[in-house]
Amino acid sequence: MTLKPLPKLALFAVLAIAACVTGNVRTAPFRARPDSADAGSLRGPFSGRVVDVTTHAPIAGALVYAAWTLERGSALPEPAGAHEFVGSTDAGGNYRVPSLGAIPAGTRITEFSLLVYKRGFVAYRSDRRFTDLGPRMDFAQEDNQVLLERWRNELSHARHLRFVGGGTAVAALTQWELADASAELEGKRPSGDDIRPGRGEGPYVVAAQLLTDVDIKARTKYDGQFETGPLSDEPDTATYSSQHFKALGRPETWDVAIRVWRLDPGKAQERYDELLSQLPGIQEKDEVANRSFQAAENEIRGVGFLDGQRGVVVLITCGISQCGSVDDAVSLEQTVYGKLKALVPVGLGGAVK
Amino acid sequence: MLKKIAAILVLVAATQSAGAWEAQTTHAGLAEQAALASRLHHRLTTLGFNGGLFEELTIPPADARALIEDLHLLSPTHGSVPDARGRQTALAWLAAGAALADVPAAHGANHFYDPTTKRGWERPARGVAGVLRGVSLPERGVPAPDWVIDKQNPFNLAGFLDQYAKAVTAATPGERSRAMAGALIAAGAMLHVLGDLGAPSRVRSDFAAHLEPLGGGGDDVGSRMERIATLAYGRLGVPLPGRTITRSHLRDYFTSPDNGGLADVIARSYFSPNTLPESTRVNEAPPVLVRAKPSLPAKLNLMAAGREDGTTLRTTDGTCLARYRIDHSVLSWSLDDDCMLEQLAVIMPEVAAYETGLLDFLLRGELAVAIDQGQVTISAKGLGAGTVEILVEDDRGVRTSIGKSALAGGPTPNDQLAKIAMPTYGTRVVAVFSGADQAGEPIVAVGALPLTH
Repeated sequence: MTLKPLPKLALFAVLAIAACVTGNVRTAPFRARPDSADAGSLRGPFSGRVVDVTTHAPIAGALVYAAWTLERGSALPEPAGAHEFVGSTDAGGNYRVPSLGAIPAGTRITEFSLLVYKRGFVAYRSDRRFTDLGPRMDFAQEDNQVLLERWRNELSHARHLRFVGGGTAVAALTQWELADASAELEGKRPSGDDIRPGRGEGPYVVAAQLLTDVDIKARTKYDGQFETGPLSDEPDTATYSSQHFKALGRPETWDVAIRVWRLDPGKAQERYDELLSQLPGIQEKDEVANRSFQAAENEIRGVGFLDGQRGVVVLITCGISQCGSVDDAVSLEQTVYGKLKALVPVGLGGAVK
Repeated sequence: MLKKIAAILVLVAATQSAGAWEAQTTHAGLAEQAALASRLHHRLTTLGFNGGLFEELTIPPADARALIEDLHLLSPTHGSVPDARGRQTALAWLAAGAALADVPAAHGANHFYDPTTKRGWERPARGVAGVLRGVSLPERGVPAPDWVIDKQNPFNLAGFLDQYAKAVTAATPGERSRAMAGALIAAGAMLHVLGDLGAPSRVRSDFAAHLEPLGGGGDDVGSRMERIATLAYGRLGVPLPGRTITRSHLRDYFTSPDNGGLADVIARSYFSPNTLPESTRVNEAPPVLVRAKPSLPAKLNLMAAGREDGTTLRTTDGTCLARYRIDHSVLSWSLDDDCMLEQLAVIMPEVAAYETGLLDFLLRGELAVAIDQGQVTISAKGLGAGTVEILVEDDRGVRTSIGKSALAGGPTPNDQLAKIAMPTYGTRVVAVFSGADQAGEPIVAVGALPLTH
């Protein structure tokens, strides 16, 4: 093999970066900080802030999904797994992804990618832009700024789903786009342009943001796995969303589900009253938010509340194997209410127009 | 645009691997583009997978533990790792197959084919031990056109056809979903094997080009050109196919007697790093070509070659073919990153076009199902000997065979293959033909018709 000349600058970069390689981590294709010329670290930690591209208002409760790609072998390498981190932005739109710890012997970290997803916005990837699918050049390991653009009707759901990629948490949140993506390929425009959550003004909230499997496990000490996704009984709309935590390999009494209605205050009151009249074994308790209740039917516990100021009604159902006592269900309800308050501050236009 | 990408290359050199077009990014992106440009979406909806490319298909982990384990070697960020229930979209299953073709790593040695020598991967005689201490590379590989039909290949043509037929004939929706996912994995893997032949080093026996240091440590070696493709296009930026390549035989997509296979086209159109013209002394002898093609122009620009940066040999459409330079009366040749990037801008859409063609080839079999005077008729053009089976689907989605017959091949009146009394129940009639087409190629042809009683 003969050595071929390389452009001097490229050769310099190759040599310089090779000299910087430490152990089994490749050099990061992004900067350490936005104002730095130094390469960042694929291991992390990563931090940044997510804001609305138009208003520059912080976006709370956005999904933050990080993945490290591992590889092993030489010349004919093969994938060696990945590590994932799932989190969300805080009330100020900030996120933090901790450093990756030890990796299996014989593997190397070849890639890190960050995805930020918030319903009603175009997703953000650290490696590619949505607009032209070109390489993103402005991602930084720390103090990164993520500008989320609001979703527009003319954008393609098929393209967006490809862009977003995977991961169980991401797939659960983007499942609602599947039908529209399929319709696009059929040559049909998505129907009901205004029925999707996130179409109105103000901060957005969907069920998946209010309750996670981590919240449930922290309360109930459940050590199994959940399959998550919207409930199948009623599709998500601009005013309703749901999340089903199906316990894998267990009876339904291990399942948990949350339903969230987001309405104007008057309609929220009506919806709450409907629940009171429809649900079996119901008792008003007024433990959470403006009004709350407990209900029970056979092996399912139900709890719910009305937050009149935000125009939000929440119903949580929890099987008796998962929620051994009603206190477990109420604790989950309080967790949800706490997140709701963080995501939708009062006076910021909580109701969907 | 090119300068911008070149700047990226400088910034991120040595950050990615490249044993082939990178499996989880470039290959997955090529497969996705092929799917979007092919008839796959339409075929899926016809068969009852109503969401088409975005239909969720499930392979229960308990049914395919080894496969699921392999899938979890992939990074979920690229969208081809199923959830805990073994579920992801049809498009993702195809991309997963494209990513899995390099698992285990030794299978990557079966993604080479030199149309001149008719051989595949051979471990370079020299250099490997020095470059890769302790790394074991396969001595030889199965040539790519043979690998897609090789029995040792878990994702071969036979596997695709078997799963594709079951995706129509299996009784329950769950079984059909699982089979279709399996078929798409096999299809994706075959697309990968074909797509690899878009890299000049793989079709010009330039194995040493796959042992170039990539900067990520002593054992991090691979093809520089394939790494550039990853950096420039990733998964999402892979270009759309400009056209769809049509061939009558599977092998012809790889290599054909008329030199129209992807390997043939790439091998004669581009140099690879170690198959450039040999260095020669100016005015003593013309440049010596390792291969007859690409040929050199009758006159080189030796005046420009004498400048410090040399000059560029370009194709008729202006794409960089190689750099050449005269230094101390020696004419030497090279391929730099910018030159390879220009080539990729031409090669990638062509690879996508071949992959789209191959996917359409795999799905080419189509049966017309019609109802005429109380009879269900099945007809098709271009099929040879085989078996046709007709099934009815009830309102629970369960399919039951209502007729099966062997066909000898040859012309039939109105291209009719079978006729059977219309079932008295059901929501859909489906038909599947398994056999050969008129070109003698194995084929599964399918068709469906909704029923209204």
